[in-house]
Amino acid sequence: MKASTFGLYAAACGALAGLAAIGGGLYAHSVQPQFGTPGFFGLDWGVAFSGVGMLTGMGVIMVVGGLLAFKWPSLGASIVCVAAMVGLVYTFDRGDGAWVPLLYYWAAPWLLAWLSGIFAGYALHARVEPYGNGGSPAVRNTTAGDTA
Amino acid sequence: MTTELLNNQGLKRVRMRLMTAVIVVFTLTCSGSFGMEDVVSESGPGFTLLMILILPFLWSVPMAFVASELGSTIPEAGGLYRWIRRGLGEYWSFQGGWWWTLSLYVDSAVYVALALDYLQNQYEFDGTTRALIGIGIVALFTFINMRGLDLTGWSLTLIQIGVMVPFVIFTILGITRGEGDPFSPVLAGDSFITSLNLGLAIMMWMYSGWESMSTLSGEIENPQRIIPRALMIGTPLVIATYFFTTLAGIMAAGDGQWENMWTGGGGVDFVEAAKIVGGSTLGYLMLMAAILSNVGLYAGYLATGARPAFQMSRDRLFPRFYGKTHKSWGTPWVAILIMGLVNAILINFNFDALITIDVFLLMFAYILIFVTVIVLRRREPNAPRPFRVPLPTWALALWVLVPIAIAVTALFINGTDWLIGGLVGILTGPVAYLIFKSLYKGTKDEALEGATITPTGDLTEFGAKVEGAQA
Repeated sequence: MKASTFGLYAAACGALAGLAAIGGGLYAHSVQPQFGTPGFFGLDWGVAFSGVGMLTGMGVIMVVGGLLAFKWPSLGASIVCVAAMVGLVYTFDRGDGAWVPLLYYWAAPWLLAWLSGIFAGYALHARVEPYGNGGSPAVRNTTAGDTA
Repeated sequence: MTTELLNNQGLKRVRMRLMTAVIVVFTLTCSGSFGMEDVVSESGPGFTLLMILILPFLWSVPMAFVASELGSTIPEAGGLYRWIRRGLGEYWSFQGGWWWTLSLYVDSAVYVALALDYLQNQYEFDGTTRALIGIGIVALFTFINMRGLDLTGWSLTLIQIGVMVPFVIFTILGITRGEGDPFSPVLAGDSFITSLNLGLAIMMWMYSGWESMSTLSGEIENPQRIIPRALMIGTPLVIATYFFTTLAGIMAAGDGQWENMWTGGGGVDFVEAAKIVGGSTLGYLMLMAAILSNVGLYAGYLATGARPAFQMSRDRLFPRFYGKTHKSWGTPWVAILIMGLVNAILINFNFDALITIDVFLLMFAYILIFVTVIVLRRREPNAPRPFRVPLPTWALALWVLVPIAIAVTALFINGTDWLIGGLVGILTGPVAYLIFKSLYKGTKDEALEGATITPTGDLTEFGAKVEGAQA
């Protein structure tokens, strides 16, 4: 498969990951507007920093990453993956069962973000010429059992 | 340049005796039975002993056999990283190597922290002393590892003598003097599933590490012969060690005391059980064994954990300085030193959150290894396999499906934070590949340093070409 095809898949998966996160966030908001609202430092941080806010916010960034991946698969997919990581780290160590459902909402975005990274990796692998051609090192050891 | 490449990438091969190799395998996969106490109280005494006997055939024996076959077919530095590369290509090999390295950077520091916990509980010193002792342990074994595998092998041998002598005495006394019933009750919980959950997760951890020694292949003479034999000897040895020491532990703890068996203070662990049947002297010896066990695990995983990063660097997929070798000692000293430095920093902080990436990343790397062996069987049926799992490919595929299923199950039974940490860790793989591949470009399969045969398995033809090139 060509690098451009892999790049296309990476972009599509990245954009879909973002849409899945936004969709999940909007659905969660419709069911429970304050879903996953944190209370850092004794303050109510409101909807912007809630589980819903994180899903939609990171979702938007992932969509942007996916769109960038059409032109630059490595850059775009990296943005998508990092946004998914930030979203997941946000749910870490809450110690509250109420946060577990937020993980379910992240399942599809995580999987699609991972696929985006995989396709971008394949695109890069197909595009970059590795060492070993022409004057680069191409000699190998064929005596595994010998003492150096 | 040519001389260096033909000279095994600057790595020195040591003549490792089979017994030393067995001890290395034993260290990486067992190193005493500390931790098994938690399985007893979580799963029940009878079920624990049953799992010790059955789980290996579903989990660790497949890995030991697969590691033996792949290690004999591809006896190259970096071990599992190079196996996956041959089977699944550059991208997945980087993922496997990356996940494995990331996991071991954190995991190895845990063993130093555990050794320090045992010491601190006994001698009650302050945080500064703890930090200094920890850094001292890390520095000592980093130096030993940098000096080479012969010295590492010797140190692991001494450590395992210190671990196993108290365990042998304890096992004899526990079985002869203990009053606990090792088979009753069978289950700890109300149901099989409840009893299985946490016990299985710990047991899988206890039975891991069979692939680790492969990473040292580039620094051992005849690795394709020594490592599979060490794995085949080590497998029953580890099972027997776990079974008899745990049996003795349950009996030594006393009648009905299995519920109170756990590590971390307050419960009946092996140290307390040793005091019951052997007095304070045996208790002290067992404490020293616990410390040495963790130190041994650290030394072993420092050795194996540093190698994939070294090989990835030589394959131009990791920062170039990682690939430096010591001119006199013939070891990947920079990769070892960096790992030691990271460990020295980690042990002085609370890195509980980082530990959560461990299981998940290792399980994914294991899955890649199991897939690789099947792919290579199909793609390169005639490649030289000095050790071959005595099963046809379809049967091998069915066999490895079991540990894959267990690995997938394990991803979800360690708790929510472990799942989140693991999912985040997995996503670092593609990002790291995109960065390092862009920076360093990678190396063509045909130009890989230290490879023994071509990806198509055509050793003779390739060897002739190299000889022609030299001439």
